[in-house]
Amino acid sequence: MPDAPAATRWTPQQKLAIETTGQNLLVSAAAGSGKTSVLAERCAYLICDAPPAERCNVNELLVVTFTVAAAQEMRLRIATALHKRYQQTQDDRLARQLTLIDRAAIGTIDGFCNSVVRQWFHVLAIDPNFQMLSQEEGLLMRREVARQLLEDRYEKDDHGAFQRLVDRYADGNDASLRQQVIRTNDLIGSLVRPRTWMSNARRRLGEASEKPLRDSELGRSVLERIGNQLDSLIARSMRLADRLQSCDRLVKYLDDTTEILACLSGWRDALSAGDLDSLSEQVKTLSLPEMPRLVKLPPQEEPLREELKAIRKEVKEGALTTTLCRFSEAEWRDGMNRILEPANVFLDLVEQFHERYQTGKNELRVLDFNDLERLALRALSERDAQDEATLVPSAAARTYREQFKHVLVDEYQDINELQDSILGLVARDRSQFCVGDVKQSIYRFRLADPHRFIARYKRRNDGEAVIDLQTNFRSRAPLLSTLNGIFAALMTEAAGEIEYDRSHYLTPPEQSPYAQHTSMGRTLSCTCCQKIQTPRAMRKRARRAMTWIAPSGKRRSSLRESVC
Amino acid sequence: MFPSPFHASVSRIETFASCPFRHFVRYGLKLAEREQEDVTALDLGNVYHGILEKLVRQVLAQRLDFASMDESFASTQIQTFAEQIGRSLRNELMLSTARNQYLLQHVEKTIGQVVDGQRACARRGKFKPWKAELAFGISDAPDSLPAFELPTPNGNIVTLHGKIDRVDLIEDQAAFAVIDYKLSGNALDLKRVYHGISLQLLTYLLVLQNAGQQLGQAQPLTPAAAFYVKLLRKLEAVAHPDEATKPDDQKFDLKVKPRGIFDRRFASALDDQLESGQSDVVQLFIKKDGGVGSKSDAAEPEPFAALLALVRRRIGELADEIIDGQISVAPYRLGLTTPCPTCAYRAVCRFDPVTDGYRSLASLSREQVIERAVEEVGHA
Repeated sequence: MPDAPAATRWTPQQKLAIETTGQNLLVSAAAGSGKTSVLAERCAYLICDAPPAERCNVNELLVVTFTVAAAQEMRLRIATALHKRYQQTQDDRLARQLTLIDRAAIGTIDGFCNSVVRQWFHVLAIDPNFQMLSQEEGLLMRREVARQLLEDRYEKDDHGAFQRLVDRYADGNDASLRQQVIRTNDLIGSLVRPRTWMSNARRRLGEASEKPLRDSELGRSVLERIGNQLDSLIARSMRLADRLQSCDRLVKYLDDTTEILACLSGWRDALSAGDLDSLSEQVKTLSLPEMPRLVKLPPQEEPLREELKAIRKEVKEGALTTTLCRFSEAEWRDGMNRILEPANVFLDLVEQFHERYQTGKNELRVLDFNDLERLALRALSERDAQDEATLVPSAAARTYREQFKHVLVDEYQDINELQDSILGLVARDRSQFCVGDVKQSIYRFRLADPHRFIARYKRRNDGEAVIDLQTNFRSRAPLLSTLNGIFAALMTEAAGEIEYDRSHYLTPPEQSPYAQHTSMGRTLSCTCCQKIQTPRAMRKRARRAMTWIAPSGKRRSSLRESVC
Repeated sequence: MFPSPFHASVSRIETFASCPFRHFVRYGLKLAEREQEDVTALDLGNVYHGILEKLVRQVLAQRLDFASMDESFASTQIQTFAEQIGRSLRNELMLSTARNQYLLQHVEKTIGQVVDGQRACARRGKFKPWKAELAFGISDAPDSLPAFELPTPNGNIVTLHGKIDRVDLIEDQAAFAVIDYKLSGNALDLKRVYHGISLQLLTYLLVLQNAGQQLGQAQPLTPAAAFYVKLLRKLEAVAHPDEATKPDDQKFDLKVKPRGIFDRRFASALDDQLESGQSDVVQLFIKKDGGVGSKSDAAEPEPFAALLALVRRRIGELADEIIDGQISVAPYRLGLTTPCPTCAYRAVCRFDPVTDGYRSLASLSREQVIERAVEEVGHA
C-alpha cells in the first residue's frame, strides 16, 4: 500500500466516508482507493473530532477485520493517527485513549464471538473451559466422520436408495459425495436458521414433484428464468428491428427479424399462459428459413448483419432451445420425481453428518468456529414475542449495544448471513459502518456471501447511505482507463454479480502522487499495475504469488509477467 | 548405482523421463508410500485387470472369441471371476466392508459394459484375442517371454520386463494389436511419446514384433495397432433425454472407443463397415478423397514404423542417462501438465517452481511429432 495521503489530501468522497455519522454507512471501495486508511482515519475521527454526541472512547468502538494480521495493522494505524493528533494538541484525553488502545475491541469476528461466548457461558449453559478445535483437526475430524457415515450407509441401505445415489450422482466413486456432504453442511452452517433451510428444501422438492410447475416454488423459479431469458432475447430482437427499420437496403433482414420476433412472442405467450406443452412443441418444431443473403453491404451496416446472425444462433442453438424450453410439463415433473429420492437421501446424509460431527465434538469438549458463531448468536438474540422469525437483541446484546457506540466492519463482501446477524445484534441503530469491494470477493470457499453486500448496496435502506470510493492511488490514468474498459466489458451482473458501471470506474486522483516519484533512484514501476516498487519488493511479491498458485498444479504459465 | 546391463520396467523409464529425482527416490532410495487399509486405486486396478485376465483366458481356453460370445455367458463368467478375485485380494479386502462389496459390484457392472463394448468392436473387425497378461522378462510368471533387450547409444545394455494386458491377432496376416486396460485417461498423446513420458504402449509393440517365434508363429509378426481401453465409465451429460443414445441402439456399446494408434492398412480389419466418414469403432475419419482426417488415430505405415524406432531410441537414451547417474530435480512441464501434483515425493525434493523452474518441453502437434520422428530416425 502506498502511504495514506496526508489528511489534507482526502478526496471529497473519502472525507464523506470518514465523517458521515448518524446513519448506517456502506462504503464500496475499489482496489487501491485507500480503504484501510479511511477506516483507520474514521476511527481516529470518531475518537477525537466527531460531534460530541457521536464522539467516543477507544473501547466504545467495535472494529471487525477479516484476519488477525489486518486487525493488528488496524490497531497500529489507529494508534499512529491518535499519536499524531496527541503530538499536536497534547490533549490528556488522547493520552488516555492511547493507553486504552490495546484493550480496544479490534479483531476478527471469530475473536469477538469467542469473547461473547466466554463472557456469557452461563446464559448458554456451557462449560466455560471449552477448547477450540483447530482448522486442521476439524478437517480431519469431518473427513473421518463422513467416511464412517458413508460406510454405515452402505451397511444399512434398505431399499438400495443410497447405492443408487452413489451410482448415479458419483459414478460409483464416493469420494466426491463425501466432500459434497461436508461442503453442504459447512454452507448450511453459515445460515442463521439451518434447520429451516433444510425443511424448506425438502418441502420445495416434494412440492415440485407433485404440483404443476407454476404452483411450486422451484417450478416458478424455473419459469421465471425462462421468462427472463426470453424477454431479453425479445428485447434484443426489437432493438435490432428498430435499427433495421431506418434502412431500406436491409428490408430482407427486417422481415427475417420480424419473423423471429413472431416466433419468440409465440413462445412468450405460451409461457405466460403457463402452457409448457405448447411451448415445448413450438420449440421442437422450430424451423427458421435460411438467413437472407445480402451482398456488398457497406461496412457500417456489417454490425447489423452480425447482430442478426447472433440472434439467430441464440434462437436456434441457445440454452432456451436446447434445454430449458424443450421439456413439456410432464417431462419436468418426471425429472423432478427422478431426483426426489436421491436429493432426499443426500439431505439425510447431510443431516446425519451434522449430528455425528456435533456428537464427536461434544465428546472431545471442543467447539469449532461455526459453533462459536452459532453460540454467540444464541447468547445475543432472543425470539421476538410477536414474530417467531425475527431475532431481537437479548440482554447480553443490549450490554454490547450500550458499550459500542460505533461498529466498523472491514471486508464486508466476505461476510456471511450468520456473522452479519451477530453484528446487527450488537450494533446500535444507525451506527454501522461497512466497507468492502464486491469485486474482490475471494473467500467463497470460506463461506463468504457477497450477495449480502450486493443486496445492501442495491437496497440503500432508510437511514443508510452508500458511498463509492473510486479514486485509485495505486495506478496511473492510462492504465486505469484500460482496466475500466476491460472490466466494463467483462463484469456484467450475470457474470460478476454486479454491473461494472460508472459508479465503479476507477479514477486517478487529480494529482497523481506518483508523478514526483518516477525518477527516484532504484525504483521501477511494475509492468501491470505501475505501482512504484523497488526491484527487491517486486521479486518478493512475484515469489509469493507463484507459491500461492503453483501447488494446485494448474495455471502456472506466464505468471512471471503478471503478479500484481 | 544403476549398472549396465540395466533391468527396468517401461514405466520406470517413463518416471525418469518425467523427473530424474523422482526416479532416484523411488527406485534408488526405494522410498515407498505408507500402506493403506482402505481400497486404493491400485487395488481397484488389480481387480479390474484380474477379472479381465480371467475372462480372456477363459475365452481362449474354450476357443471362443468376443464376437460370437453370448451375453449371458459373459455376465455369469464376470460374476464368478469377480467373486474369485474378491476372495483372493489382500486378505479379502474387497469383502471386508459393505462399502468395498459395493465397489466390487460396481467393478463387475463396469466390466460388463466394457466387455459389451469389446464384443461390439469384435463383431465389426477381424482381431481375435490371443494372449492375456503376457509377461516378458518376469521369470516367475508362467509362459514368460524373455526380457526385451536393446543396446543404447553409449554401448550399454538395457533389458525391459513387464506384462502386456492383452494381445489380439489376425491369424492369417500374422498382424497383432496390443491392448492396455486403463482406469481413466484418454488417447495416446504423441508429444508425450516423443518426450519419453509415455512409452509403454508402443514398447509393447516392439517387444512382440521380435517374439513371433517364441510364441509359435512361423512368420515374423507385424505390429498393426496399440490401444488403450478405458475401464471407468462416466455418465454422459445430454441437454435432453431425446439426445441420449438408447441402450438398444447399435452404437450404444461402441460409445467409448479404444484409443491409441494403428497402421492405416489395418483400418478395415478394425472396422469392416467403414467406407468413408466417421468410424463407429475406432477414432478414424476417412475423407471423400480417401485421405485420413487429422484427428484420427491412424498413421501411415512409414511414420508408424518411424515412431516405433523413435521409442526404441528414446529408451536407449534415457537408460544411458540413468546409468550415468543423472538424479537432478527436474520435473517437466508440457503445456499445463507437470508430474508434480501426483508426486508422493514433493516433500523430499523441495522443488520450487519459481526459483528452480520446470523443464519446459515443446508442445508439438501430431504432425510435428511424426515429421520429427521420420527425420531423427531417418538420420540415425
